[in-house]
Formats: sequence, structure tokens, C-alpha cells
Amino acid sequence: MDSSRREFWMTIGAAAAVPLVWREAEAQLEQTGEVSAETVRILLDLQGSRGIYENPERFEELRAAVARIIRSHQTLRSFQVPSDVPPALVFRRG
Amino acid sequence: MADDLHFLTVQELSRLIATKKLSPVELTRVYIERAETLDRPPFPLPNEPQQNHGSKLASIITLVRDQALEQARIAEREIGSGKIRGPLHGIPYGVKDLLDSKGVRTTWGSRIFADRIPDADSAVVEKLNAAGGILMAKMAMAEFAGGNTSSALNPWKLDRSSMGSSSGTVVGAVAGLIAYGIGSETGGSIVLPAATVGASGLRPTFGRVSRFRCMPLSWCLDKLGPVARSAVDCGLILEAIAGHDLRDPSTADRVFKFRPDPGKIAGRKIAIHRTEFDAVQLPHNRAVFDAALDVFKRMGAVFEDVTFPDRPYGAVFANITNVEGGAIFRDLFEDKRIDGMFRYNWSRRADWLAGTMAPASDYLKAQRIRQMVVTETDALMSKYTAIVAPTSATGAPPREAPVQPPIPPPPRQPAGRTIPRVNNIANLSGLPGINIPVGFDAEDMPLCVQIVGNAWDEQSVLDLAMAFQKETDWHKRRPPFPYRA
Repeated sequence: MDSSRREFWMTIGAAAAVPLVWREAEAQLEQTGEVSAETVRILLDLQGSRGIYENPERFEELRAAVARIIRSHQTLRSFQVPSDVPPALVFRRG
Repeated sequence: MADDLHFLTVQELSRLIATKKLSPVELTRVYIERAETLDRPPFPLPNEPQQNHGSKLASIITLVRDQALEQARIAEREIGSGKIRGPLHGIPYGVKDLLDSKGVRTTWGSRIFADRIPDADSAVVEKLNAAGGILMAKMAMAEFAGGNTSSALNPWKLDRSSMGSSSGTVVGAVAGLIAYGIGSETGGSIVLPAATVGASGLRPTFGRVSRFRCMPLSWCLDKLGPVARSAVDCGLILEAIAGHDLRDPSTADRVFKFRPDPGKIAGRKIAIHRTEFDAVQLPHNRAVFDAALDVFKRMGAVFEDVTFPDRPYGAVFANITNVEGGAIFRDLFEDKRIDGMFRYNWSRRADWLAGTMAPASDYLKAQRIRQMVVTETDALMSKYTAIVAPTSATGAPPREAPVQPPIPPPPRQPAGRTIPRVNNIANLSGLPGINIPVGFDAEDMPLCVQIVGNAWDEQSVLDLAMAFQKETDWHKRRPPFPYRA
């Protein structure tokens, strides 16, 4: 992903862009076995300031974490759940 | 007398106090002096794991000396005037340092909160104090209740892990530094460390104990429960801390009334999770676990082997905890305090941040699979009083072993398939479970089983544990710390 594409995502706005960039991260992991640094950087920028993840070593930890969570999503998505099973979240009035 | 006092159970201490053979002030002094002698390491807490402990356990982050002695004097006056609040009256306890205590620093095991002093008590501390308990110590824990790394050393062997995240609480209870403690569990943080030191540790049903003013790690998985030197004590403590609390909407309006008599075990159906017993590879450990099952058999329990369906338990747990952890600790990322997290937690920190970016639909999918697991597990469990499995196949590993995730990876079957673990399934399903010691490995480290029951049926879990402890004395074995020549 080059810088012009990065600027493009930023102009779209965080709320709209995160799902699209996330999908791109998933595709990269599927195709190359890793998520590119640039994609993680955009995800990070969309979250706000980079903070400690400006540090290259910390940034690599985040890149690995994004790959881990996408792999766990792949496991979850490939598991079939009957459509009438709701999430284990209950809103209850007292 | 002082040499024996620190290892007595709550039940034994309670009898002595009620009959005025033991003074709460004397008892509190015994524990404080023991903690000051044996526990305080040559470095401040909370901290990264350290190599040089000066042979101290480091299980206590903050010793509440003056307040504890004042509470003890009040208890003594009340008991002297005939006002006995219950079995915990006048007995010192410790809580994992994620439970708020008014005026006493509560660090969440992190240097980020090293100076955090709450202005009110957590619900659990409120209840224990109302029961006449004496808050004596805030116990060490893995930072933000994650990772199995804690500063607390294992009193059985100082070079062995006490795992996490409630390591300070289990070490303090087993080493006789406190009469009992309160730990927390999201995915195993009471029962797993309890197994490394041979403590009796009870994870109650999700919603049994209020988490008001307790550090959250996962809103939908966190539980608070007792750690003690016997199953009876766990029941006495649970009765004191259980109950509905409008300030924690997860709590249920159900009463827990503890019955210390386990009744007859004959005829009770116990499910055996055979695959976990079969996964124990060391012959010595296998023999210990077989002998433990024989104790239940001799009491007349009826066994039946069960298996759990293959489900992505680990992915569900990881997804829920990463997403909820990311949301819970988001402010620390925003204001950059997260920079102060301990090194051993750095990959977890990254997992939380990744969790904040992940799609909501995947979190909901994880919760849908979890609902399926709950339904299946409830159906299976409804046929049995409880299910039993080794809490861990081996004794506590060396402390210098690589840092493990909060839930150790499940054992693998020869073909490479992952074996579902009762501990993981019980935590996802919100089921109660107790860890009890059943023997020792070849290196004299405790081996333990976990007894898991149906939702809201802690009494049956306790019955089996209490009956086992009537027939055996493993829970009465004390660590050799401090080592005598």
C-alpha cells in the first residue's frame, strides 16, 4: 500500500475506513502469511496517536498481535453455529 | 501456640476465637510478624519478576498493619461482649490486589497504579469486613491479572512457578501468611495457581459474587472466589461474599447457604474427563491421580467417562478477552500510561490494542459459539453431580520457564488433536469448580484435581471436596518454607 492510498484511507474517516482496512489486512494474511507493516500503521493511525508503537520493536509486537487475532477470527468464522443461537449477551431489566 | 496458629484452618481458628481461647489481636500479630519475616523481598512491589528475592516469598504487595490491628481490637471487643458475627469474625485475610480497599493502595499488580488509593471498598471487602474479617494484606498478582508471571515464589520450592494470576493469594494462604484470601479468575487464575501450591481454591458460578469495585479484565468472564487451606473454609468464605448486588448487574438474586457436612457420597454420579487423565504422561503422576479417583470410588461415587465436543474453545476465549481487555484498558493507550506496563506483559498489551481494531461481528460470533458451549455443557453436566479432571498434569514448572499465556495450552493427543480442557470449558460456561490437592509428584510438588459442578451448585462441588479431605490429609501437608536445617 503506497502513501497515496494511505492518505485516501485517512480522508475517508476512521469509522468508515477501519472495517475496510481490516479486510485488507485479512486478505494480506491469507495471501502472504503476514499483515504488512503499512496496513497495521494505517489501522494504528485510524485509532489515534501511535504512542509507544512509534517504536519499531513495539510496532512489530502489534503487527504480530493483529495477525494472531485475524487467525483466531478465521477459526471462529469457519465454525458453523445454527442461526437461532444468540450471542451469550443478555440485557436484563432488574 | 504461635508456631501452629498460622496453619490452622478458618474453621479451627473460628472455634478458638468463639470460645475465647484465641485473641483476634494475638492472631493478627502472629500473621503480621510472619509476613514481615518471611515475605518482604529486597525490592519494591509490584515489579517485574526478579531473580534475587533474598529467600522471601513476595506474596504481599501491601501489608495493612495498623488498620488490621485496629480492626482486630474492635473484633476482640465485640466478641468479648458476646457479639459474634460469624465464622470469619476476628480472622485476618488477604485479597488479590485488584479489589478496592478504602484508604489502602490497590495497584492491580502494575507500577502504573503503584500509588492508587481507592476512596471506597469493593463489595467483597465490604462483605468480609461486615462479617468481622480483618483485612491484613493486598496480595501480589500478575499485572492486570494476566500472564502466569507473578513475583510470588512457590513456598514448596522457591525455584518453581506459582503461576497466575492470583499467585500471591494462593502462596499467602499455603505459606500461612494469611488465614485465607480472595482471588479472581477469568480463565483459570484461581484454580491454576492454587494447583501449583496445593491450595483449596474455589471458582464460584459466574454471577455468584459481586465484582463491584474490582478491576475488570473481562466483564463476561471474571469471577471472584476464596482460596484457603481446606474446602470447608472455601464454603464458609463463599457464604460470606456471595449475593445479589445492584451495583454489579451480573449478580443473580440467589442465596448461597453453606452446609459444612458433605453428606453421603455413595450414589453420586461423577463424570470423569478421561482424556485429560490419559494425557498425564508421567507414571508417578498417573498413579497419584488414579489413587485420588479411588478415594471417591471407595466412598461409593459412581463414575462415568465423558468427552466434550471439539469446539474452538481457545479462539473464543482469546477473542473475548482481547476485545474486552482492549475496551477496558483503552484509556491507558489514549493517555500513554500503557508505556509503563511490565515487559512480560508486552505481547498482551499488543493483543488488547489489536482487539480494539477487530470487527464487532467476530466478537459476536465468539459469543454465539460460547452460547453453544454453555448449552451443550449444561446438558451434559445435568446428568452428573460433578466432573473431575487433573487441574494440571504435572507439578509446578520451574520459574524460569518461558512465560505462558494465562491458560496453559491444552494437552495434545498423539495424533496432534487438541484435547478440550474442563477448566477452559467451565470458565466459558461460568461453572463453579474447586481445586484440591491429591498428592505430590516425584519432586515433591503438589498435584491437584479440579471438581466442576453445575451452575449454582457450589455445595455439591464442596461436598465432594470436603468428603475427599475427610478421607485424606493432602490438604494438611505444609510447605517446608522457611527451610529448617
